[in-house]
Amino acid sequence: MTTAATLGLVAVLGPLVVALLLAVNGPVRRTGVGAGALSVLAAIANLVAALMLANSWWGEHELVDSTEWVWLIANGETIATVGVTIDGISASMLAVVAVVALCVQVFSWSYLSDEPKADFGRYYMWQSLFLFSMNALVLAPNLLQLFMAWELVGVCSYLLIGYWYTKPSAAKAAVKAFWMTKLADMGLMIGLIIQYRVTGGFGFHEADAVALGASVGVVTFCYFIAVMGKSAQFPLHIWLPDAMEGPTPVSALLHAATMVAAGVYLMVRGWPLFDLAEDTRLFMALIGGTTAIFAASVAIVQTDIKKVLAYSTSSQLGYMVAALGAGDMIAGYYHLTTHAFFKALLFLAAGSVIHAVHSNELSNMGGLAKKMPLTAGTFIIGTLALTGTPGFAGFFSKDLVLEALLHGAERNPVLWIPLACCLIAAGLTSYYMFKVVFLAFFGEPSEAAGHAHEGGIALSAPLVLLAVLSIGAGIPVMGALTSQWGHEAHFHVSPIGLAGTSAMLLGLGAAVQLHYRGGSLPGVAALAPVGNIARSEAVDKAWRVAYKQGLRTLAAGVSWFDRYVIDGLVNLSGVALLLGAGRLRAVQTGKGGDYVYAVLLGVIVLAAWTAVVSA
Amino acid sequence: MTQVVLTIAAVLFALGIYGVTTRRNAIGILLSVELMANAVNLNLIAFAQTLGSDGQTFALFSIALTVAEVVVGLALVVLLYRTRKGIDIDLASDLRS
Repeated sequence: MTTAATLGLVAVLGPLVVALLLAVNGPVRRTGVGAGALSVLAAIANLVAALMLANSWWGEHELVDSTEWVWLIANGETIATVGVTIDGISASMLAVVAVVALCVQVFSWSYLSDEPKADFGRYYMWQSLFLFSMNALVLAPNLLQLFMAWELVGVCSYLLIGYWYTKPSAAKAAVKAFWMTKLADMGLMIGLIIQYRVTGGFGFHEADAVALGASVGVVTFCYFIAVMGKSAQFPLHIWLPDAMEGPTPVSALLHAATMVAAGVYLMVRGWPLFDLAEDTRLFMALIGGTTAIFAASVAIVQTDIKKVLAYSTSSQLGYMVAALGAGDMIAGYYHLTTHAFFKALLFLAAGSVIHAVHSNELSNMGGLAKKMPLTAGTFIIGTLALTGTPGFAGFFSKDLVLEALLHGAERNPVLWIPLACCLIAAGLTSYYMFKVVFLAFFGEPSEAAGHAHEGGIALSAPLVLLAVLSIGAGIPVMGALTSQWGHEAHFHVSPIGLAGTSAMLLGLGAAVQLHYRGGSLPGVAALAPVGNIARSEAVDKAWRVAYKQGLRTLAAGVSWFDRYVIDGLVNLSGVALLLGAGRLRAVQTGKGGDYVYAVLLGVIVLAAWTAVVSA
Repeated sequence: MTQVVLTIAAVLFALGIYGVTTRRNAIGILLSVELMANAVNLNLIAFAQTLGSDGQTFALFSIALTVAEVVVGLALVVLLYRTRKGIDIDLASDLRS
């Protein structure tokens, strides 16, 4: 086995061993700290393996190694394999996942230190299970293994959102997230079945895309449905804000940096397929643009700091989907990597704040910059990166996305729509993020914020590391990431980049005027109806109506058919049998003569039959 | 000659069937069964005239068998009388559910 495959297996199997050990060994799990130590050790081993892989093959275009084992066999033919595939994409994604996962696991140590020991152990068991699933997804050699891991991360998401399962809202949110993504996952499954019918395999390389022929559009469309669920695209995004019921580090890892990005990763992985599907990509661009602007406008009216970040995640995922839809895989993937760092940073910093003030509401914060300078500083760095301030990581990736859309729009005018959406969303992003900064860290402290203080080293170290990455994942990463794919993306000042920065500055200006100076802006009052619409959770309600009126009515119809038609037929045959048997009972008279008649009749029939046959 | 004997046997057999189906008295039924058995014996003897003496041997066996059958039949009648206080076979209609 090659070094690459060995490292990949360490990354996948290390967390799996820990998760299984903690699952079957109750006493170790209930020690809490011991379970956490094992999990963190696996995460460290995973990070070392991932960094070694990334160091050697970061941005490698060609396949480095694919070690696979036969898994499913039918009629002597191998249907599917499992294993690890190392190339530039999987190596770099593995590194991103490993860094964020370790940061989150260390952060959780302090964040959840007040939890009962058994729950602490349970949390780390699931963290390890998630790390295994995510690595198996990233390193999947075919789409079937990716699908399996995809469902596994969905299960981990369900388990971790419902970590405080005794809280009804958390249990409900977990179920909602599971059902919504499951509904969308049907697309991935149907797509896989079609792909297997057409090509006889589950590959994602150029050859597989060519083999699909005309079916490539249908298959990629099915895959994109699953992406919409997993990556919280409009209108399947409604589970993501509710998922904030989970512990904040979970939101940082699963619902900001890695799991929700799995949808985008699926498209990056299957890019040869999506590259050929022009119509699917147009749809992707439109959905991505819609999500970017819609989620950003809803984020503005949220008062819960985590919900702001959740809608922001949905909006940024919209950017990635739009970039991929415009045909630029690198732009989308690059935004994924930078977003993973700064959004994880924002969530962890928000977690630090929540840990200090014991509330998610912005109104319970304020003036925290003096009390918690490190948290404030890192949160602001994350904000600057997210809003695309020049020099920070998000600036370069957002610039690439906008350029990708501009190039796309030059070929297909329809793409002006997502481009406009993304530009406006950039301004909105800047507004709501700086609004959070001003409300949480500046101004008058609320009562709860008065006693806030900075957390320990376990809380601050991950923040600092991610802050460094949010700044550093700019030009150097972009160059390294893109150079080996043949077309190195150079940063250059362009009109579209300036437009993006202007939008960001406008948003910043509005936030300063409204929330720092406490002033007013002309026309804000006129926007109140828009705010009410954003607050109304219309999409949520639409789904609820669709569920109640549509699904339940359908279920009632099916139930009626089953109860009265299917069951009715069964009952009818039973009743007919009973009635017939009742009639036949009359034959048994119990009188000797009648039996003799029966024998006689039999003899006559036999004789007649013999006569007919012999004649 | 054979035809005459066969005709008589057929008439006897028909009479036996009539008796079995219409009689209520158990002894009457037993007598009718004997009529049918002897009609068969007549047939055997009639065919023995043309086909060799095997038929006569069979008739002897048949008579012996009929004797045994009558013993069993009369025993049943006695039992019927003892359990049902009569020999009308409608008294024993337990097969009716």
